[in-house]
Amino acid sequence: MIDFDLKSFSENTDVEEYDVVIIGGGPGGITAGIYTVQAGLRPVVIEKAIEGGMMNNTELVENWPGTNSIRGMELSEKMADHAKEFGVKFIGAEVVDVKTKEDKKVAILDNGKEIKGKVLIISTGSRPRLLNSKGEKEFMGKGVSYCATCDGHFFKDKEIIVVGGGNSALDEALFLTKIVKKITVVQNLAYLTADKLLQKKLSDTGKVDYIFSSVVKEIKGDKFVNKLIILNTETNEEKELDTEGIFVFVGLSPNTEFLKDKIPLNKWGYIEADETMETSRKGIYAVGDVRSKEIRQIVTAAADGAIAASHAARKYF
Amino acid sequence: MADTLFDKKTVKKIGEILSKMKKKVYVVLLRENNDSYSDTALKMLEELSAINEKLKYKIIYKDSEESEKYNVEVFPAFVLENENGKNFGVYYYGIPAGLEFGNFLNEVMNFSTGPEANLSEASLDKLKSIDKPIDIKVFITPTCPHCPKAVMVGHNIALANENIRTTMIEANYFSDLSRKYNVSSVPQVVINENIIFVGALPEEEYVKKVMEAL
Repeated sequence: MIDFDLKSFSENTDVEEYDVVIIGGGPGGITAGIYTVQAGLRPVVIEKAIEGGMMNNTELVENWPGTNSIRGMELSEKMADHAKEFGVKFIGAEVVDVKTKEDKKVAILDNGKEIKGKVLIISTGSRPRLLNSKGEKEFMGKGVSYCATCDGHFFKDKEIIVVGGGNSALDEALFLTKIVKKITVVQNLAYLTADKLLQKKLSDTGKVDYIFSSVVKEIKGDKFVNKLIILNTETNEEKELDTEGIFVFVGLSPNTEFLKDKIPLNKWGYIEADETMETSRKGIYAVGDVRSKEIRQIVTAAADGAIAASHAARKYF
Repeated sequence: MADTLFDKKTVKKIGEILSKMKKKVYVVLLRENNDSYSDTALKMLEELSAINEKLKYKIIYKDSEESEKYNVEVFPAFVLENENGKNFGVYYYGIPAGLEFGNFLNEVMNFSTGPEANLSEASLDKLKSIDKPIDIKVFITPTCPHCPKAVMVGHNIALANENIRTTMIEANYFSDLSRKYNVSSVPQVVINENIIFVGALPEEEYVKKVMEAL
């Protein structure tokens, strides 16, 4: 079956000034947009890839109230449609720099345009973290992947390795079981950290083996990846695994490179904000995965977005 | 009645988008005989054209004299042309379905008002100087969130200079082509066979890669 998704359409707009400029169109940014409209203000959401952000990489979302089970891509579309119907404007571009000093904040886009607003809400989220192990960069795009929904079909009927044992690792592994022949999950801890229900679903496929307490030492191959060297942290033994592909899901890394020296970041690169989501810079808010916090979920990102937009509307307009 | 590719809700949304078309746009479909994927491509264009008549299509069969003019390696392929039938080097191998579809409409809308290369002045200046052929291949899958951006920037680069042609390639369907270029992650961009990168680079870096290929 072939399907057609409108999310990558972005209406041409010449408007360069808004009340609230939201950088990043995931659940946090979209919710901030909706609440901004409800406050009678004009928001714009600038998204570099696809509305919904990392939600699009989630096979099934089963903890968004009101929908028992929904594909991440579908929930993304529903959220974006909702915002658009409310009048939230979207721009498809990457923000490469910001000006934060003036009364009007400015987002500079990779196509050279500048978008101004009184309030800036940063909801750029995070991306899969690299292993930073030997051979990883060399084999990126040559059998080492970070996106199952993007690249899964290149590994049809192959035996692959998934590195990681958290929710995103197991969710992507579950998606991959429909395509590949066999999966070996390599986890650094002695146990999986993913939700129990997800663990059971994955095991029930009968296609998955687990190796615990092991960290990646090196990724090897010829033209294409063919081996993963792991080290057992309990026995200190090294082991060489043959493989036809490696998917890495070992946590997240915040998308804040363009904000360096512009707003304070913590040592991991996340943005610190108070309970109103405002940062130490007046009129600049941080919501969702990009904010320093404990729990990174769709529902918590949406909550952040609502809080930031409501607070900004009261304080600055 | 046979099933349609676009459901009612999507037809309505597409209709709203296409209602702002100014000039006619031609989608050239290069197709094979007796090929179900080519049939689906045609069905898509028939349905879109029924939504707004300013969106036109031409069918050209493989091995015809006209087909050679477009110089495509695989079928079906789409080529966008303006109202005068001018080819600007905006190509698609396979159907721009899934997440690519929204960007396909972006490009149709751009052709209906221009087309214009929506790039920064700095990028346009650099690309203007190119005086030999540049071929950009953008391998995508319909479920890849970062791919439409790589196609969008690539197609805008093609619009900036007549010597540049950029092709979106449906990497799942054209698996032989994907194997030839060792594609295992998308988007993968191949420029003149020698510059290869994975990921949706921001415009400035993308243009830099194009200049490296010279």
